[in-house]
Amino acid sequence: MKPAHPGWLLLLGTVVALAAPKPDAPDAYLNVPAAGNIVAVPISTPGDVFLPPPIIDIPQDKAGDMIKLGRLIFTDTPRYARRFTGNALSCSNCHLSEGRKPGAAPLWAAWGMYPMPSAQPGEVWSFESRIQGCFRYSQNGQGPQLDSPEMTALVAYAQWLSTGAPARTELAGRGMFQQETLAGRALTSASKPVYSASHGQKIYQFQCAVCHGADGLGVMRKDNSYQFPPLWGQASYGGGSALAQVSKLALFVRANMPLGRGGSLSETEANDVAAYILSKPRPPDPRTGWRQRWREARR
Amino acid sequence: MKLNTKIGLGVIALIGAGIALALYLPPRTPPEIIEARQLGAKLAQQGRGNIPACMTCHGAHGEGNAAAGFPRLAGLDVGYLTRQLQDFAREAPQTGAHFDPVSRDYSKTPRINLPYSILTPGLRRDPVMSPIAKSLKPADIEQLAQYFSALGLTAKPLPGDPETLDRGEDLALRGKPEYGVPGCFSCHGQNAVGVGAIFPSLAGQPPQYIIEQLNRWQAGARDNDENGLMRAVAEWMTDGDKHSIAAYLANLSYQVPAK
Repeated sequence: MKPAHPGWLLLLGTVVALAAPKPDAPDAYLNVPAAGNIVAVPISTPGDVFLPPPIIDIPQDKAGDMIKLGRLIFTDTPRYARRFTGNALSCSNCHLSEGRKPGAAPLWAAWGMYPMPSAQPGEVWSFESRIQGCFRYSQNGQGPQLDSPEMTALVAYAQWLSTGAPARTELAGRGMFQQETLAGRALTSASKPVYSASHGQKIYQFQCAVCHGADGLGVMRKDNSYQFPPLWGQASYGGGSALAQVSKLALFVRANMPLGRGGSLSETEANDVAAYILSKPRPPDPRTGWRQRWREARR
Repeated sequence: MKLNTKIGLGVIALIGAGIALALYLPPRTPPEIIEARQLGAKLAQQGRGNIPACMTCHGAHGEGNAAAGFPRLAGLDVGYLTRQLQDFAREAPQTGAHFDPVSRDYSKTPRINLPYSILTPGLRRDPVMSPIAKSLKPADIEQLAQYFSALGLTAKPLPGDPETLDRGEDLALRGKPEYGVPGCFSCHGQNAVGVGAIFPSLAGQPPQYIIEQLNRWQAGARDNDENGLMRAVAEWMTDGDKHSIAAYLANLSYQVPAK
């Protein structure tokens, strides 16, 4: 039999292809990777960071009671250290997961580094004076006295969290973001960043407003404590706090925010959203005089 | 004191007492909401056409079915319930490569390159609920959400193994900080009572339901969370974590008053 001309085959194939029923729209779920294939970039692998002891390991004695009180003060400061706070924030609003999370200034990484030399020559910063600074600048209140039960409890809690951690050693996860690489990439670029608060506002409305509110004033529970902390306003942290610097706040945001999705914002996005947050009013730095406050208010 | 002065003071006191009473009394529920609740109650109890009655699976008072793993609906947020029914009914958007039959010049088409413009509305696919939700009208969804959110609930705490409950409490309060996973309560509220329309109440939900939803988040069968927050958490949960947290949430005592 004479073989068919290729042109006829092509025409036949075209007719069949046109007459065949149109295939269904591709399924979106086909593109979703299966459970075993999902690749998530870890902020830290658990083997690389120090693991503080679990809560059930708190000893059942008087020292253990002090540790428990310290944990309560840490997680609900406006209630358990009312006389020393001036705003609505708790310690655990920044030191996330009750002071345990690497990259969110964990207590177990800070404890062994104190006493440390201060910026002023000849001065030494003790752990207690650091706690007082937190109360004064970040909680907009007064530092607890060295012999107050609040101070003893907080020190006891920090010491207990550091059970087994090496002293005077730079531990991975210390501070806001000490890990230099994320999946092999450098996290901070060498060039001086340029901040755009207007771009940061868009990032804020998309990423942050879900929890912290479009007005940034946080979400309050029925008992007047905060479920999501305020980011600016009189109930938020003061201008003397470390997070009142754009670079530090950007590092914190990059490492920890949105909650559970740390590392998802780019460096530019984190810088811009930090610049937007810090362009809003907040309690003043208690170290500044009235002239400077007046100038800032007029600005 | 003159009589006029006395009358004036009395009028002022009456007005003040009226304002105080108005502030003290709870706000009145609008009549359209009450009507929506009644219509929703009718649909939930009797069903209509091919829509079965909700109470056959979700319990006579929306308390759920712990044995079968059907979730409780009583006392959940209106916005949350509405959104879940909408997401059950939504079809998956078309994805993949798209070829034009005639090549066009796209050089003059304005491009939107902002990363926050590409989010699609979430999907929640379920073999039982999706066909039901597709036959609901928008008004039905609104009425059902109003009805179930107004129901009260007193959860019956399920007993559990102490070690499992301890591990569950650890996850609920602190999460897994070494993996960057926050605790449940940091978003879902203290004792998982729920925060607004985004973060639903988890207390009093059947353990099988919690485990099943976490599995679906891991597999991608449910992705209607805000900004991928829940999926990021679920990805790090092991089967043991799911078991512990479900047991702990079912062990919580929880009460929400009827509206």
